[in-house]
Amino acid sequence: MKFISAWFQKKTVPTHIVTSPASLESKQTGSCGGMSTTELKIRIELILSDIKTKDSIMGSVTKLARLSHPIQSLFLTQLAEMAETSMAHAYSMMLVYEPALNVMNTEEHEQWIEHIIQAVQLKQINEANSLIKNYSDFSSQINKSMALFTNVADILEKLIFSITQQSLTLTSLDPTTEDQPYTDGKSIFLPASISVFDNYLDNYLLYKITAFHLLGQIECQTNSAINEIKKGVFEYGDDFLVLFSTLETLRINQYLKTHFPGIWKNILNIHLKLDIDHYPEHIFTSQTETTVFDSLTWIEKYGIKQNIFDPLPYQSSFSPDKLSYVLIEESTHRQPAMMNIHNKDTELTQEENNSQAPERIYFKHNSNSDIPISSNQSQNDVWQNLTEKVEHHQENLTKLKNEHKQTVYLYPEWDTSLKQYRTDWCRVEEIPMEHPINNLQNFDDAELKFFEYRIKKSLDLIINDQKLIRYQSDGDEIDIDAWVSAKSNRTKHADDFQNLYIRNNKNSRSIAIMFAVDISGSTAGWKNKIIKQSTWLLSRTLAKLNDQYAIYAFSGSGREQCHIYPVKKFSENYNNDIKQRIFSLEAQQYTRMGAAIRHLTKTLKQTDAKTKILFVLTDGKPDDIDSYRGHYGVEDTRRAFNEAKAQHINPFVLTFDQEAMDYLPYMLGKKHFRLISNIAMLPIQISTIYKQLTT
Amino acid sequence: MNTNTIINTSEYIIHEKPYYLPTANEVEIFNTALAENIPVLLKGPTGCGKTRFMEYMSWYHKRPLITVSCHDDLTTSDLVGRYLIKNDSTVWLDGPLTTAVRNGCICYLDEIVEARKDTTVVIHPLCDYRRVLPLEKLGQILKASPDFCLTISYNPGYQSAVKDLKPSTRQRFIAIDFSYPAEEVETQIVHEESDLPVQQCVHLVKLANMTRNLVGNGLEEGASTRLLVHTAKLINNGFKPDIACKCAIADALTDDEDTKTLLHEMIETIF
Repeated sequence: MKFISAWFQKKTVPTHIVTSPASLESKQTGSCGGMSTTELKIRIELILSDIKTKDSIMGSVTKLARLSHPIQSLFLTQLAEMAETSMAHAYSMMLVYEPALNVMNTEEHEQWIEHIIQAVQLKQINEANSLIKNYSDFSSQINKSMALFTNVADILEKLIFSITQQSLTLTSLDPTTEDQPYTDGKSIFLPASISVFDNYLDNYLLYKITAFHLLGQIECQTNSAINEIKKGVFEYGDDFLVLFSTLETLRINQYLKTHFPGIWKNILNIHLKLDIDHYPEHIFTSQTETTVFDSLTWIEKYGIKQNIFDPLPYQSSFSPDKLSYVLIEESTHRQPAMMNIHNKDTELTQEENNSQAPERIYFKHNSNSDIPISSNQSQNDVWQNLTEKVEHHQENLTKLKNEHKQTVYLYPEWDTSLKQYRTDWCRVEEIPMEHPINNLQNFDDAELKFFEYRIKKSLDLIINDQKLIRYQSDGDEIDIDAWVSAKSNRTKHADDFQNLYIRNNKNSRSIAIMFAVDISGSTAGWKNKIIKQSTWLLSRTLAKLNDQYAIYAFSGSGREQCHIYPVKKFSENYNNDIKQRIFSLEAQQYTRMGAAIRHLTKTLKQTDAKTKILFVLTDGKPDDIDSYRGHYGVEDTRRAFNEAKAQHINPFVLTFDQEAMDYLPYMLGKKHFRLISNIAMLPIQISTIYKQLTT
Repeated sequence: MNTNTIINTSEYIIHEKPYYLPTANEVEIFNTALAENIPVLLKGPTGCGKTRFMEYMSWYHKRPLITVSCHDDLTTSDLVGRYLIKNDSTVWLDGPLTTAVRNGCICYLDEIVEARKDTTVVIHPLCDYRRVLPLEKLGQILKASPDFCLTISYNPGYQSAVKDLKPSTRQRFIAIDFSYPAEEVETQIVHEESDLPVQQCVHLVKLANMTRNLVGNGLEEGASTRLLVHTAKLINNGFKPDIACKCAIADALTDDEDTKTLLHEMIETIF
């Protein structure tokens, strides 16, 4: 059988000769006010904290200091990203970063970095080393028309989500294998790159078509005839699989033609460019929905020796081992809707698979499905563990209560397996931030000034949103209504003529907002930096708005160490200390969200504002040691949010967890959260959302 | 009664039958509410047909419809009425609510949550068994005409924490939920409103549903039926579907470049 993946590895000769670009150094350096050598050195050392040869970086730092500020910022982001996977490669890349800029243009340079990061992430150490060492050859080697998975995955994933409302993850296939694109029902596996055509757009379209074909495979339920396919392969070998794959591809094409005419146009365009003639569209022309059994019936009718067509470039894998995986996942969730054929074999497989399937809990938005119940054995284990924990807790409780610390609080936690609260279960401690950093120069950069401008512009309307107070003794305008009223009442209340003015009042908003910032370990690195920048910029702007606001960070480890860090209390005004506290926030440990929400709700409740908002900024699900994760964590957090709502507090979550759609709608309701995909835009997003929430 | 308070209700009568396609039992519920003098609350996203429904019901019952678009500077006087100066004396002028109460009209307060909370409290005595409107400045209590009906609407999808109905207001109404119509119904609506061929309307509705799935993930609200009708009219006037969708849907929904790119991808997937 010809491997269709060969299509994706086809190397084409670029039609244009890549001339060596002139040095861009002059364009990229100089006058834009980049970071100083000292500042860069400090930042690099912070990122490469594990590298001991720090002294040797001075030469590179000097070169990097000549670059413009945006390029320096980009460099630091890329360095941090690479350092998360491999500190050694980050260090090596840093050494040649600036020389590489002199032999490549910006796009090539970004592509070079992406290739290194990808190679490091895929553990292709030699490849990564070679890319760094031979940076000067990269420009001549790369295929500029190549579409990379990393560039297209985000938009395709969202596109597919908009159709299915299911979180189908897009995953890159290992480029060293010849695996065809396939789907397991939860993920869509696409090639790491496509370079079939000489231009990027066509390669991107091929990515899109391939992704939609795999979506079509799920929607057209190819997997519902798994046993027939296995039987066919067993009896007739690859001939059967080739014919079946072609037929299913044609059938899925028909589905795409009916449901996504735009994609069908793209397919025809690809056919044209690849000189694919005599496409056998006549095989599936029916307007009615077809099933996989139509393909099998066709094979039965015409035999396997029919050579309909060569494999198409977007054709996915229909191999039974891939499809049977789909069945395991699918069987637990839904029955085929279009299949009317009674299939005993399929039922048997489903039953078998059900019994072997691991326990999994899914939270789908608007889902009313019952939560899976664990087996008796595991329930007993849970009970035993819980009993031990309760005993341990009782021993510690007296000790905790005797601490007499004003900053220590005990909160209950909802145990969803017991369906009741565990009283005084979590020990929450407010830890004052007493050791702020002193040097804040590093954070006053041009990038932030741009964000600050955008935020101010966004919130200006609120800042200038003046309310009118009528019947005032002095003010900006004459109040006609007051005059009319005074006229009509003059015999009774002569004093009415004293109050004929309208006064602008800027303080009519009665809003208190509590920002709860998740600083768990998963926010370490550049995420932490963006979170700090966003929090600082927003707090500066809110200071002008006169809304009551507080900022608390939370993290911890286990139920006895739920730590809350008061960055800015309601009673404090914004000042330089607050700024220092914000920028001294560092990623800590875990996220026991329920306890933090209960504590912050209690604090927020004490304000006298009419509208109270609890704004949680997080990067993922509730997660802590001692089993506070998954279903348990989500249920407790959901309960904590409901408690807040019952106390007339409006909770809102801003998250950059791309899987948030699986649990946040359940945890909080559809209109109480926002998912952002590009964390770099957090400073802008957070202010936009603030405006939406409070106007 | 002051003659200034009598209006020519024919101005408020809707003479031509508005196109409205019922999606569930909303017509029957409204008819019953009208017969039983119960005020009605219409909930639903923007552009889903709340105002059109009111026009249809007004036409159906041949009752004048007075619509007030609420905003955050709307005062009680704006609703109830005020004194005006005339020849060095004052005359009372009924506000739209008082006019409706006096003349047995349907009063429709659109986007009620936009109005200040203290303003909306004035409707409370009208919305229970008393059916009266206190005219404080006149020192009168105005009993509502038997034909008077109060309807309010709001969009529960806004993420604003300050835009919500007080429970004491909310609990005086029966609520009709206007979510977007089912695909077939919405297709028919777009087709009827624009004369666009049904097949293209099917695609437009599919695109709208894709945008609605993105709510909370880049979009505050998905494409409304009204937007689809606008798009369909553009297409019917010779614009290419993708151009029409970009103008009437993508650019209308968002200013964010990333989200716009995604919407353009959706459009190119469908058209």
